[in-house]
Amino acid sequence: MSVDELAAVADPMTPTPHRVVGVVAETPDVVTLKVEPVGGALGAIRPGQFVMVWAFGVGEIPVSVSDVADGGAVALTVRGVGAVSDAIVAARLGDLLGLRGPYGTAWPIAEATGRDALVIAGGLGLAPLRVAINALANGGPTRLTVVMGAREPDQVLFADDLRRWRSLGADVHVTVDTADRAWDGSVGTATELVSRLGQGHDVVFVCGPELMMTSAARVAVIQGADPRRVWVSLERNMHCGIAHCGRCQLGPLLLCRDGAVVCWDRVTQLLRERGR
Amino acid sequence: MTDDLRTALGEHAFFAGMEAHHLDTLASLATWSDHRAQSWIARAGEHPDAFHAIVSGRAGIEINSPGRDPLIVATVHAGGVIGWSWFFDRQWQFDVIALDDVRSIAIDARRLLDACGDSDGLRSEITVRLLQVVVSRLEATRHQLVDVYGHVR
Repeated sequence: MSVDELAAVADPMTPTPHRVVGVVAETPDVVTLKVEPVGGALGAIRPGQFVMVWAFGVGEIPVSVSDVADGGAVALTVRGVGAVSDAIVAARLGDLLGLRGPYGTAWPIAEATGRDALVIAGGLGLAPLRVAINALANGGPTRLTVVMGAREPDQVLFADDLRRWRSLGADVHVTVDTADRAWDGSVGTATELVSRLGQGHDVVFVCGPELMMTSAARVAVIQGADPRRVWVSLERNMHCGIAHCGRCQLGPLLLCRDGAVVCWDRVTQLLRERGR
Repeated sequence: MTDDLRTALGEHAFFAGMEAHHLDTLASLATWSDHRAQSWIARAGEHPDAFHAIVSGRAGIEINSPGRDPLIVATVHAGGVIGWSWFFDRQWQFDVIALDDVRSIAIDARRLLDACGDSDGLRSEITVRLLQVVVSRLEATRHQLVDVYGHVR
């Protein structure tokens, strides 16, 4: 964001109130909240961008947008892992949350047009990819493959979306770390599954735990994907959202501005360095 | 040996690129093996009688621990192989169950070991390919051990 753009915003740190109008329990510890603006809506949100969400009286955290709808409605998919996320997960219909944003870069959907696209999601990483996959599944790539990894079957997000993407022609694979015999998918890591799928993917989007992302991105490249056409979504401690506080620094990058979606060839070396 | 079995061996990912005379040897030791869904392919503690190369269906490597339900820790799909215990002449370490109807190429384990003893080339080919399988499963196990999807409070 330039100084002029920043000046155009009355106060970039002021949240916009949004009311919770829908709550969906996705897994035992993950909920999706649908929120609508009480007053003015946020600006247009592109797939992969995030917003800062205030639980009033508790604190603020970055949250990826898992869906957008008319009128400025936004879906936020959150796992309770701390005081603020616990408060957001505990929100009920009618409660107010404060949103700022949207921030950061977006998945380069246009890059997949006319190409073979592979989307790899791990755990909650499917949330920031959901809008992108919706766009890709409705046309663009010559072939769309989605690989979803989770710890256990009851941790797989967005089962309805996975079915819908299949019905639209996407090749959807789900793998878990462990399962019982009733599980009808794969058991193993997402990286193994990507290896098994073989070569031929031109454009790759990856989002999930960093260890899983780096492993999956490396395998995609080994199998022939151009590192300049592999994108990953990196999280650090996003705080201000406007590239001022520096908490989300990764080498020369401020991920709230230069990420979260970044090209793999830009961060390959940075992620090898310890302490980043 | 049937022609289609020899062809299937040549097309199986594990044996990809293997020299024809090695494939001929393997095919001479192999039979088709069909396993109904929910039937056992291998049982922990038993001596392996065959080396299975999966052609279709899913096989689950299962750990049965007292006090808890059996747990599938890996699935093996078309192009994969089950086990390396046979290569070291030791017992199966885990149960393997057919999760779907599974078709495999079953290579007689005892005769395959003998054939590897007779042919340095075949032993080397099998060793390198099995090592790749072991490395892949070791990497996966390490990632599972870290519990990458877990979260720290």
